Amino acid sequence: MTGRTIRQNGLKFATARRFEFGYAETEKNMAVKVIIPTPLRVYAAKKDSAEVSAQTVGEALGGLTAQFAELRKHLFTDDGKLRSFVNVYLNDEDIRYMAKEATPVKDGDVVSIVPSIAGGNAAPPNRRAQE
Amino acid sequence: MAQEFQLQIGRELAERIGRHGAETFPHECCGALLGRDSAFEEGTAGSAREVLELFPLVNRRDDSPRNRFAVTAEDVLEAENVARQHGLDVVGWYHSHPDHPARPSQFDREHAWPWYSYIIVSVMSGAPADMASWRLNDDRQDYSPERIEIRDRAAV
Repeated sequence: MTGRTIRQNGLKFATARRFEFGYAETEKNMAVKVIIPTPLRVYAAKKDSAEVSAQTVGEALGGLTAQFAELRKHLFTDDGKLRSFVNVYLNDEDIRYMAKEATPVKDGDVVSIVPSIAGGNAAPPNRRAQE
Repeated sequence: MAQEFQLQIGRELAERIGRHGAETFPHECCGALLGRDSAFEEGTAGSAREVLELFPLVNRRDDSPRNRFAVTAEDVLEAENVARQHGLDVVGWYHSHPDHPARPSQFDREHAWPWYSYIIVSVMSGAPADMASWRLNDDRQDYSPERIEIRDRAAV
């Protein structure tokens, strides 16, 4: 599909241009390495990393779960959001402080999935809630 | 499919987990279990797992440390680095349940990762009591108990 097709459908030129850029960029996917954390390697053929082709961190994670479908439910909630205890770094930067999953990637970048750990006992009794 | 899990740990390490829980009581303690899992070793079948070192951590939950614990991603990376220096992996995590039984709470399950062993030590009135370990099932819906085999070093 091209921008001209979109204009014929009555969409604004800006939309068509954005689509054209998006289309062009898919020609230039970047080779990215994704580091798989130890607890998820059993769902990734015991590999500690995977090579994917992507333009953004989100696409890199999508590429990973396309290769290893069983990873999906451990990384994403049912509505497709990253789980709160799944941390993603682009090289050494937490993507929460960048453009999150829309953060663009370059050739040779490393995307690391790092767990954070949480837990605790059952709901506190009243005497604790009052403290 | 029911799966049998077993975790080996030296008596001295098991007692250190209890002592850590007693030290931080009435707050929860937490730390990493460093060890080996045969699943990642060439030419071995099954998944024998042994804890060979501990990496005690500071509970990052300042707001409700009596019934919650948190380990940040930076702490996890540090624990993994320390494990690598010992030629080990982070095979799980431990934490205490002050004045509560050594059973995973719903909060524990919701925040758990698969594969890791989660040791819980119950600390009753400041003294270490029962210890239990569990793992999250693949479907994330439930957990499986993991039998802890405490070994005396001399017997290994």
